[in-house]
Amino acid sequence: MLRVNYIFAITMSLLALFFYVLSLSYTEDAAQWPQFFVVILVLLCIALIVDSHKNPNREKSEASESNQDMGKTSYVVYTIVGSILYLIILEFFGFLLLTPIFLIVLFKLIGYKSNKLILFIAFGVTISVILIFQYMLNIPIPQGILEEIFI
Amino acid sequence: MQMWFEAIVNVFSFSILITILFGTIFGILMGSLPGLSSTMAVAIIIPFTFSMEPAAGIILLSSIYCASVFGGSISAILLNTPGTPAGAATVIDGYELTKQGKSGKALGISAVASGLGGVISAIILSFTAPILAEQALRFGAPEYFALAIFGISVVSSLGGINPIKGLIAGTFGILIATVGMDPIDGYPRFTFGSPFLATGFSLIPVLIGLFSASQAFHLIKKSEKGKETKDSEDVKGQVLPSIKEVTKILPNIFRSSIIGTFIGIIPGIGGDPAAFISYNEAKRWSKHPERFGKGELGGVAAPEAANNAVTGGALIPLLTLGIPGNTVTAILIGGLLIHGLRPGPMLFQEHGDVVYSLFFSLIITNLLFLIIGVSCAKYFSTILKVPAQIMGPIILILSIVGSFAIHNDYFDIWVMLAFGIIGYIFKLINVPVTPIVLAIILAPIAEQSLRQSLLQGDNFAYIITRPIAFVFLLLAVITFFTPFVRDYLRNRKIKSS
Repeated sequence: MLRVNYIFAITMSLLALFFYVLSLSYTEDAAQWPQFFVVILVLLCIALIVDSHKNPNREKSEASESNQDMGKTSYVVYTIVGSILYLIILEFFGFLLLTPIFLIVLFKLIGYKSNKLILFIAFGVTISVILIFQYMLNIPIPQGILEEIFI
Repeated sequence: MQMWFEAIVNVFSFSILITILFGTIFGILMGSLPGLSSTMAVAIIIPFTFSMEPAAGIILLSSIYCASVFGGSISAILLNTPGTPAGAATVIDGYELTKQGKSGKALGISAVASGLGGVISAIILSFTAPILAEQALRFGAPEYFALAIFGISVVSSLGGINPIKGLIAGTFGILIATVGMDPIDGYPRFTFGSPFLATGFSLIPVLIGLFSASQAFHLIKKSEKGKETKDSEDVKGQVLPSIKEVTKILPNIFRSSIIGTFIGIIPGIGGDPAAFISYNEAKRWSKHPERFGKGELGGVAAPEAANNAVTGGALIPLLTLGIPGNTVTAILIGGLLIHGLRPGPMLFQEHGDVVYSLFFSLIITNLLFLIIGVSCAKYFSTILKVPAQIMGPIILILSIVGSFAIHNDYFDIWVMLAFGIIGYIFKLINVPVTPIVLAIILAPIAEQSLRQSLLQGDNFAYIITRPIAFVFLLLAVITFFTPFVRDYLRNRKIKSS
């Protein structure tokens, strides 16, 4: 957790620096509030580095607990990449066509074997969401190429 | 009194009763599955409330909140794993009773204690909130600034074992909240000329991302190949507690409900400490403290009454002052805002019908899950056979649709996904995400009221010389430094031993 804390503190400091540089071009009134908290964020990041150095074992028990529960990080990477691809093409294909395929691929990737269950969930969730949002609650969902057909 | 009559008529309408029933069942389901939380359950359902009447929408969200806290006790009793953090203390005696073949009785006691705890706190909420709101009507910009700072000061106690991480998350949230128009002059900040960012990040996609999508990623991560069902104990023994048993634990339930309500009022503490404190008090007041930890009914009743009483208590600062005391109430603010209801004293003036309907619906919700808990306990083990992991992809899809539904805007889905990834990474490295939400909600109020105060009074002395503002700022200082003092004392104790 020590190295993680260092990386986290440096990342947050860089983000603070980014906000600070952008705020330099603002009016004094608009810049004061974010600039004050940029300074606070940098100070807190320094405090985290010092604290992690002084108390390296502080988060040891929590870290070991979370390590035991690590599971498969690769599943999350697949899911995030899959979600990004899904969102890119969602506008064109729409929710109805794309979601069952996305769910089937996702369940397969994360290791579910029962094809019946996967198909049931993929189509069941898609149809339920459309019925509830589009028809019961009158909240539109992305329709894509089916926009003319699907009211 | 007029408001109460209107509320009773409103709540007893068919549509509201169905809403409460759905919220209660959904809440129990979400709370009972380990890995899913009250916070996620409320966040995921917010988009469904868009097209509802304001009262129905907020009643649905609050009934899910109350019922999911009770739901947490089901897996605590049957699986030895609390469904929500607030159910952790219930494990101690609840699972012991399951091992003795008395899981039915444990679930029955849990339902009764949870229901009564919730009802008592809802009654306290109904009587104290309007009085507090009336006092809060006198607040001006300096008081609102102090109040927002008090709310933000809670972030130091949300950092878990490392308070600095909570503060970093809170400050990150404050910076995120500055994206968009400056609240006084309308000067665009950090928008990169994008019209999507002109009004800042929408609260709901951020909430859904931080609490639902990130949870979906965690559930997906825990998926095990080939393992599609979960082992759970069947519910055994009689469920309905006898009148003698209930009478015996009534003082315990009453005491725990009062403890839970008052802990709920204090921002930043939450249901799990309330449950443990009540458990300890029940043990201390018991004639047979040696039975605690070995399957004592009072050991189930105390934490369950307390953690459900926290729900009513937590709504007091939320509704009267607009200060969210915990994660779920921060999300409830999102639910109120999408209906144009800004929590705070004016809510009672402008939307009294909604507030009193909410009070009355809380009583109904708590009684309803008491009935469901006692009558359906035999089926609870079936719920637990649904692996929570299978919910991951479904929650992700609901998060996507929910984020889009707010403004029919694809940009909101990207915001949700980005905050989902941030929430997932933060959780992985022990950084709490609740401070981000508290800061996003409260920082704009703090900035606006600070600048208004400075326009009125020229310097900061104008704020601290106002008595109410001074008291809130003092409370903020105490709240802010308490975790650091506790941390310092703990470290010193570790070093000395």
